[in-house]
Amino acid sequence: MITAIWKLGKSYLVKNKVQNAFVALLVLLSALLVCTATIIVSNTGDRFDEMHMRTNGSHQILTFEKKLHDPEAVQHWWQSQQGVQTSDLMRYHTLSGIVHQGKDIPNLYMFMMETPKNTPSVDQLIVTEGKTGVEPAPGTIWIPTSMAYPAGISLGDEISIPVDGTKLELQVSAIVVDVPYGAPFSNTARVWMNHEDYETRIDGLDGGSNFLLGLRFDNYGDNLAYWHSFSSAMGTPFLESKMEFEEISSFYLIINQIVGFIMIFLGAVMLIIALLTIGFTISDGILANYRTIGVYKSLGMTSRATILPYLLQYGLLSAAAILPAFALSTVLAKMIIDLSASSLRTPSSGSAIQGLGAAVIVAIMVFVLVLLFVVVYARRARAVMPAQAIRYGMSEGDSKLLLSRSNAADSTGIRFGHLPVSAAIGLRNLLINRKGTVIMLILTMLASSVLTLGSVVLSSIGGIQGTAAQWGYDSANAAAMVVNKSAFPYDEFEQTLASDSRISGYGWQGNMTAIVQSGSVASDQQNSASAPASSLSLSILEGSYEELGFANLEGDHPVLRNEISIGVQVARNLNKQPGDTIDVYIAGQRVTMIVTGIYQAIANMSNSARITMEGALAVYPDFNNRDVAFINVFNPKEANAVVSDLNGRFKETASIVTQGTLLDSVYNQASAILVYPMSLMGLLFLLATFLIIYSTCRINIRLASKTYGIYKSIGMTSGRIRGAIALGIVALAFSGTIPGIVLGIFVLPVLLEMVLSGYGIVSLPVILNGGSIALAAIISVAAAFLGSWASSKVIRDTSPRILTIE
Amino acid sequence: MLERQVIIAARNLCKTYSAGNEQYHAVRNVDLDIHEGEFTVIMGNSGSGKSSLLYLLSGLDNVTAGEVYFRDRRIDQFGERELSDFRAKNIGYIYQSINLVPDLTIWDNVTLPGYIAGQKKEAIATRARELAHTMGIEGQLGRLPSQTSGGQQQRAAIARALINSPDVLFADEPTGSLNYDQGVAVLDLLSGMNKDGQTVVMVTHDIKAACRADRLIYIRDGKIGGILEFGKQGDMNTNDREALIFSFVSQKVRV
Ligand SMILES: Nc1ncnc2c1ncn2[C@@H]1O[C@H](COP(=O)(O)OP(=O)(O)O)[C@@H](O)[C@H]1O
Ligand SMILES: [Mg+2]
Repeated sequence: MITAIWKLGKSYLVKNKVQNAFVALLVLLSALLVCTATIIVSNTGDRFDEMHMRTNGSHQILTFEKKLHDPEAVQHWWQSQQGVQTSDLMRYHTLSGIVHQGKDIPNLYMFMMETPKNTPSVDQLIVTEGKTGVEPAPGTIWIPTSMAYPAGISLGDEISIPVDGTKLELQVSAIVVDVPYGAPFSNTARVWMNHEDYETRIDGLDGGSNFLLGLRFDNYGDNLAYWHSFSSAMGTPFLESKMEFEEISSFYLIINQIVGFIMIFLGAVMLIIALLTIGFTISDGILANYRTIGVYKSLGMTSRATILPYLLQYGLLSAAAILPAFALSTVLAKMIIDLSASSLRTPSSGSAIQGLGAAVIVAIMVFVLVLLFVVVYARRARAVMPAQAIRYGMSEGDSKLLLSRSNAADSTGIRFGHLPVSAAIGLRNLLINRKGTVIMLILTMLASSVLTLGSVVLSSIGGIQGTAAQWGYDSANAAAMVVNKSAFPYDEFEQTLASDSRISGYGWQGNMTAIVQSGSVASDQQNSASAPASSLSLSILEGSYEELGFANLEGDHPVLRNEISIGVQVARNLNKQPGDTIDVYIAGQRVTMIVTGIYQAIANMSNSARITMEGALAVYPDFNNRDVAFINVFNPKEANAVVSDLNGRFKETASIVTQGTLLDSVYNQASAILVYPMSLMGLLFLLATFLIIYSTCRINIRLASKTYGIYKSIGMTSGRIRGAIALGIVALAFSGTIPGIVLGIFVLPVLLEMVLSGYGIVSLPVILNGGSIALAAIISVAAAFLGSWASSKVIRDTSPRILTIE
Repeated sequence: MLERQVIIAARNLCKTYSAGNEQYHAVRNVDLDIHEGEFTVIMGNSGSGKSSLLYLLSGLDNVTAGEVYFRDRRIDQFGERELSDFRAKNIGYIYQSINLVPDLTIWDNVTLPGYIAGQKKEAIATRARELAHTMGIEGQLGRLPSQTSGGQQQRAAIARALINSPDVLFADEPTGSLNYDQGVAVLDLLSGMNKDGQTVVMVTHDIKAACRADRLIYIRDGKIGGILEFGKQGDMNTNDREALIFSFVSQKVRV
């Protein structure tokens, strides 16, 4: 019996080679997508967590630039705490304006670090290239991967930085992973220097050295309690800058999450389509082999045994598809992970991929699902009665079905004479197999929606210039970031701006950490420390939020001193709406402010708030934090000239760039990471469209082969028949792309928003590009057309006699 | 005449097809005994229900009413597994339309029922070679059915029907799709096997073919219209048998 089943399974495999190959390919594609997605998603956190563990990474990094605290006293206090590890107190000085191989690298701020003499306990560096010792050799530096990779700086390269009218030239002797500053999209980098170089070239610069301290908590959740006792012990809250763990970790995960999530969703969709296609293919196979199955049964084969060859056939096919799909998915997932977490890649971690177990389970599930579908669809073979099958080649039920199908084609009014011949043939072809037609429709819809989504995402990121405000940025024409606050000539700078007739206005922004509490809870409870409190990044703007081009999701910008607009994350956590009050601790002082608006910002994951300079000064009269100047010009075309003039005078202490340059660097990184996975998925869906339309059309053509044979025998050219069939498919595909485009523009972005809402973006600033969307539609229609054209080749290659007999 | 064992028996057998709202009674209240070693021929007009009857007797179709016995077991009450087993081991079936599996070679077609019946590989091979020799298809074993002639295909189909040495061999117009010479060869094979003791039930239109039988059952409108016993070949000369059958059949047709 086994031999008989084996023989039959083999004969099924050999018989429809093309069809089988396509089914296998379809299974391969969907398994590839779901396995890749599984691996990516399981690696989302792991890669970062592992590196954070391995380097004993810090949770918070304190920088002392405003001389508001004694850094040593602060370090002392933290060292005496239980459950907290501290780094050395490291000296640094910020510089910008780096030149590499004659090219300026804009928007990169370097913390020139004095490398500690002892191996750091917190935030240990991991070397990916080059050799490190205790510290870099004189004249050389270690730079982080996050700086080296995007800028294309390699080991041994020289970089040059303008300082004090001369150039500081340094050679890269190692490339290291620096976890807290290494996330994608970060524009800060710690550059590690030899301590003598630091002493002679850096320490004496205007503004001198600042200090940096990393804190690692045994339990990060406790940090607010520590900060609470810090305030009591020091008599003042921490007033300098503090980088939080969320900021450190968020961008490591964002791309993986986006890609993984979309892939899982699309993979599941494709899998369902693949399974249904397998089902239809089996049904069709049974129909086509009805007589043969009858013969087997007349020879004494049991019903169960008639299903087994199908199981064997599809079991082998899907095994042959899933195994390479799995192998490919590990490669693909690794590529995508490496792409998005490239700055964490080290020689040893590079090969370690987590989530293989999960992917194996997913692969096995795909396999089992295929077998399950085979059993369900092959069950019709059980019902075959030999006598009827042999006599009619189909069951009584099916012969009625076929009859009703051709009647259906007639009853819809598709008669020759009413419609042009080609249109009638094309439409009839679609009506032969309605389930198949529905699948084809769904598929072209999905393919075009995926392509549309891809083009929407890319055009949205590409058009970020126009939507900067919705990403939480300003929309001023240029920005001047003060790199060295103590040396920056604020007065001279302001005079320059004021006297330049091209400049229409400017405003200063400063940032600090604040603590918020839900106002109502704080007043209800005696012990306000137990009320829900969290820290956030507070922006203070001197000037008009409106004029500098910030945006809110709802409500208005803060204008008065007691007004505040909050990020969606804050609004969500504290359940605040415009008009509510909120308690904010600024420099340890509690103020109650009115929420005027809610905005989203990718920076700080919307865990931030905006107030006016008057508001800050009212609580904290010494506030003098001017980090960035946003500059507007009358004629945007002059922005470049203005920026280069300003750079000429302030380059050494500030980094002045146009909005365009700033966003370009973000765009380039984001699209470099997103383009490959997105176009890959688009391609996979196109391939699936082609395959499914091919196999469905093949089935349809087989069902109607007699008809086509007759058309041919009465003198219709096969080109004309094929053209008619393709016409029908193109019409079908076209009507699929329209809802597909709608889906890609309005529904799939909602999925993205679900992922991004964790990053503080709840409403994706979508930019539509008609041309690329139309292209997406045309490409999916073209895939459909090619599928149908290829499938109708039999009509050309077969003589009418054989077509009619079949 | 010696009392022979009944191997297949039908009692009050009926088959009704329903096409839409219409019902068609293809077999009506047939009572019939087939004896071991007997060569029974079934004749009747086209559409009279001969094939339907053969399907019912061989367990290839389910009955509408009545009983079918194989020895003392009722095959119309067999479950799926028993029925499959019965088809595999106890009967062989030859079709007018031959019905070889087009994707399998002649060899695989012939041996397939052996594997289905769970026979040993060596036994199957020995038997298949023996039958191929008898049927004269040794040269065709590696070919696909489409690469052989109709006569060769039908002889392969006979070999396939005989591979498990069935108790009863059913043949539904086995010469219908063959030319004269091929038909005679096939009939020679069937009567040869019958001489060796094989029970054969054959449907035919051809009086010359019917001559080879021991007994003729005439079917009209799904009922037995008459039975003619004329004994083993050789008991009577061929011309007389032909004349006898001819007058019996023409009388039945006229009624
Ligand atoms: N599945 C079916 N549905 C309806 N009628 C059928 C079916 N199978 C056979 N018949 C009808 O039953 C009658 C007997 O058929 P059959 O047994 O093949 O006759 P014969 O073999 O004597 O030519 C014929 O009229 C035929 O059309
Ligand atoms: Mg018949």
